[in-house]
Amino acid sequence: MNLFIMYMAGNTISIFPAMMVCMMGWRPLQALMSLSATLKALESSSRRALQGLVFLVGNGLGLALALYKCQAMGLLPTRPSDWLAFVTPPQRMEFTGGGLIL
Amino acid sequence: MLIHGQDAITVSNAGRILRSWETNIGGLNWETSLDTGSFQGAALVGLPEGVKYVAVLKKTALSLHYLSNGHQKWVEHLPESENTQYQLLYSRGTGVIHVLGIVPQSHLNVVTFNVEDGEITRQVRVAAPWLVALQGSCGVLGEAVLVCVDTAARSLHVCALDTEQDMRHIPLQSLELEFADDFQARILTTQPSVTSASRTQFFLQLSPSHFSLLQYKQGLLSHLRDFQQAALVSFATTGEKTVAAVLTCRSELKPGSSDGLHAGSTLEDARRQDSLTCSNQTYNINLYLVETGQRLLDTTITFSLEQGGAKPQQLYIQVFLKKDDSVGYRALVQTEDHMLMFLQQPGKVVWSREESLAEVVSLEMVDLPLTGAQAELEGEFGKKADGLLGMFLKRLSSQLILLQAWTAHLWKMFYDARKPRSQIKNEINIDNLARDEFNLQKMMVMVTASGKLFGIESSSGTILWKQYLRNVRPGSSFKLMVQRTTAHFPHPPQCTLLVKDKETKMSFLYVFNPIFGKRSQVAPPVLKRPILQTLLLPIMDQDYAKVLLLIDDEYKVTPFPATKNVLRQLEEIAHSIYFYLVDAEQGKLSGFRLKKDLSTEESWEVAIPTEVQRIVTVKGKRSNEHVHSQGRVMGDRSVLYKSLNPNLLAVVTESTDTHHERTFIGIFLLDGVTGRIIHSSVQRKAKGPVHMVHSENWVVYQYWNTKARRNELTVLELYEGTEQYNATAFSSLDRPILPQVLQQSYIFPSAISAMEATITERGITSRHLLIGLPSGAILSLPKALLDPRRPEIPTEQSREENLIPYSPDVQIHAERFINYNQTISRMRGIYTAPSGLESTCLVVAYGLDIFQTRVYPSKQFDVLKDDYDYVLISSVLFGLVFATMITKRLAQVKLLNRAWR
Repeated sequence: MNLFIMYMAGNTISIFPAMMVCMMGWRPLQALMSLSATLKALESSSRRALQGLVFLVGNGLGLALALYKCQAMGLLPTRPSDWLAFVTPPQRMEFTGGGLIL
Repeated sequence: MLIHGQDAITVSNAGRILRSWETNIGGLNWETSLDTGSFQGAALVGLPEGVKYVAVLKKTALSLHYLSNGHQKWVEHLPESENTQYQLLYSRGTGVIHVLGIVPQSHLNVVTFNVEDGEITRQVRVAAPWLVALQGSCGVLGEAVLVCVDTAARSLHVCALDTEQDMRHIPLQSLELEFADDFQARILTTQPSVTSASRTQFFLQLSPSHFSLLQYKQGLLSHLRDFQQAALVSFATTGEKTVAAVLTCRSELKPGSSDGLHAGSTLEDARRQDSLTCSNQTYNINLYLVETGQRLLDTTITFSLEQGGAKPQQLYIQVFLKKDDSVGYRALVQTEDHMLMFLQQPGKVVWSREESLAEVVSLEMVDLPLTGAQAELEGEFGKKADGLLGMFLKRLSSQLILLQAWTAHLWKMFYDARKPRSQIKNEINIDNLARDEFNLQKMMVMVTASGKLFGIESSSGTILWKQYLRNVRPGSSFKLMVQRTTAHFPHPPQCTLLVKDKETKMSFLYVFNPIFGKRSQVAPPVLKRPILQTLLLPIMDQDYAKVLLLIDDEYKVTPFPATKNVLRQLEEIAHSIYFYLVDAEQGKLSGFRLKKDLSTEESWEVAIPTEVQRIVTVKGKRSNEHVHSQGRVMGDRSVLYKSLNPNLLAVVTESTDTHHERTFIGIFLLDGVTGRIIHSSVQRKAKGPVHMVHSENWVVYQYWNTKARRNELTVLELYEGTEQYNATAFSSLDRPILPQVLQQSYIFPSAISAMEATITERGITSRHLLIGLPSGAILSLPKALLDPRRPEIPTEQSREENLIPYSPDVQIHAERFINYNQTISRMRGIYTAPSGLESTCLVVAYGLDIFQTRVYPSKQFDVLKDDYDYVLISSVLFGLVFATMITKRLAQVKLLNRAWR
């Protein structure tokens, strides 16, 4: 279902897709932070490890999907034009001066 | 220019056009074109009933035109015009015109024409082997009597133009007049009206300060009066009375210039003749009746000029008869530094005008000095760290000073609010000059062609200081450089002016403080050899003055200042300093490298043969220009890096053949260090004058397309590509790959007088090109319109990049004019300077008028709008804060109550 929501919210940057992506990214993060609480709830079951792992992987996938969506929107600084503002001008090695003879 | 009643007659365009103007409103009465021939003189010709004609004397012919409509009455060929120089025209209402021509050292030709039909009524050759020139040595008196002075023989020669054939010789020893050595005596005559005879009295100038009033009547020469200490004389007539005005110096006239500003001894020797100066610069003008030489009482005007300033050069008198039949007058004095003063009796200056501001040659804008509080702040950050406690105490002290200044300011505001508005003066004078908050007001230092320097404050245009440099001859070239700005308190700011004389090729440096206009205490080096060019380096001396290097014609370099510290620094970086010298006459560009011992060696030479094309302009980039982004972002988010070569020179050449089919202009982009031609192109069927702007990585130039008969603009941009070759350092010696050049041309609907690009401190604001049009308006054209990447067919990518689709027309919208309805006539140049705000650029346009304004190329993005509602926003903010605090308290109370239930 998350995949469907991501597909519907296009690649432009406007309020609805941005909210969707933020929610998509925040929920797995929140779930990952309450990892210890979830593990405690799972104490009673037998296959604790596997269920814990599935929980981890699922949330990780959700996070990856959100990042992929960010990349498609062009928000991640992966291209050279994103680092253009930090390029310092090169130092000048020679000095010239002069002109038409006065 | 000749004036008759309401009409003024002018001959312009080197003697090709004769015009008559209405002096009341400045309208044109009529205009007629004259035959070709070099113009020698013109005069009004009249008959006893009035002035009806104007005669124009050319090298080979004399023509007479009607004064009412300019039609030609007749034109006659002048006899023997190949070897005779005809220079003087005279008529006195008798129906004939006398034309005098001279064959130097041989004889005079007097030709008399009849006014009605142009027939030569009399032609005489008068022997005069001693005469060299007519102007100044001869004059016409009385009833057409020519009188000439022979300096060598100390005598006068007279000849009646109507009747005689020989010159009568009158020696002057009898009158006890002593001629000065080395001075060519001059004669000054006057003719009150063209329809009657001249006056029989005349002035004979024997030395630069000695004039003598003489009279020649009925064959007898008599001496009327002597004038010593006189600097200038002038005649004027009103009604029946003719008076002579004499300008005398109050104290003694001494040879040699006073403690002014002048070059070394070489220039002084050359001008010994004219160098009589009045020591206290106080002058008297007196009127004398010419018939008797008697001084008129109560007619003295006394005035004084600035000490060390220029002396008077011309005197014009306007006389009128007062009610009690006495003579009153007003005088117009023109001084050597092109200043006009209008004086009234008994010495009041009615107005004075600085006409040298119409010939501004060079302009620089200098920041105003910091106030005491600002200087403290700057000082805090500038000095070395004194340790934690020291810095803390310094911070406390500077905050205390700021607090004091702020309370003083509040008190002053309160005090001023209580006084009535009219008493609060907001004068700007030189004593309370200080930088304003955003550094928008600056001091404009202007150098004019007459050798006068002005310091003008940019917000109000008041002239704060003036300085006249003596011994600057017309045609000198000037270069003004700012060596130290006002940012380094307590060192005073320093500007250096290099003046180079055109004929003797000698130059001198004048170092001054641009805020007060006084000569600086620093002594500049004496320049023994002519200087070819200068270079201002960014390295500084210990007192923060930038080092100026002067290269002379032996290719040796003189640094200024030349302290040990500077010489040591120069030794270290000498291998990376290069000069480029362009000789436009020989068509040669050469590069010189500086060696450790301050001599240079030639490292490259590019020869552009002068038979085909001649070099017109060479422009580098401005040294204080800062480029904000190193490349352009493409639609696919890659970067196209700009080729920013700080040593690049743009050279424009024009062809010598100006035929419209074969004319061309050439553009060369050269590297100043290696001499490598990065790009060269030839624009065929194009003609100058070419205006060019070279900035960042682009060059914009304008020319006239002779085939399509329109003005065109071409833009060239240089790019490195998608990868930078060396991102850390730029060295011209290590650039194996040539940059890509992108080019595009556009049609510009008008001619251009001047062109310049805006400049800001950080380079973030978009650049606009300020184009001065001959109509007097300045157009602000965004550089985005002149972009060679503009596509003909817009694609998705080009829309991403916000590229405007290509269209060949550049339209002039009147909304883009920055000077509204204040037109600037005959614009010669535009100067731009950055201000303290990033969005604002200061612009000064100079020509016949001077115009200063601020432009905001990207609108004022860093300044709050005028209608920013401080009251509403702050009240809402405070209201919400209080509401939060109150509700939080209430919530706590409620929770506590619930817990206790």
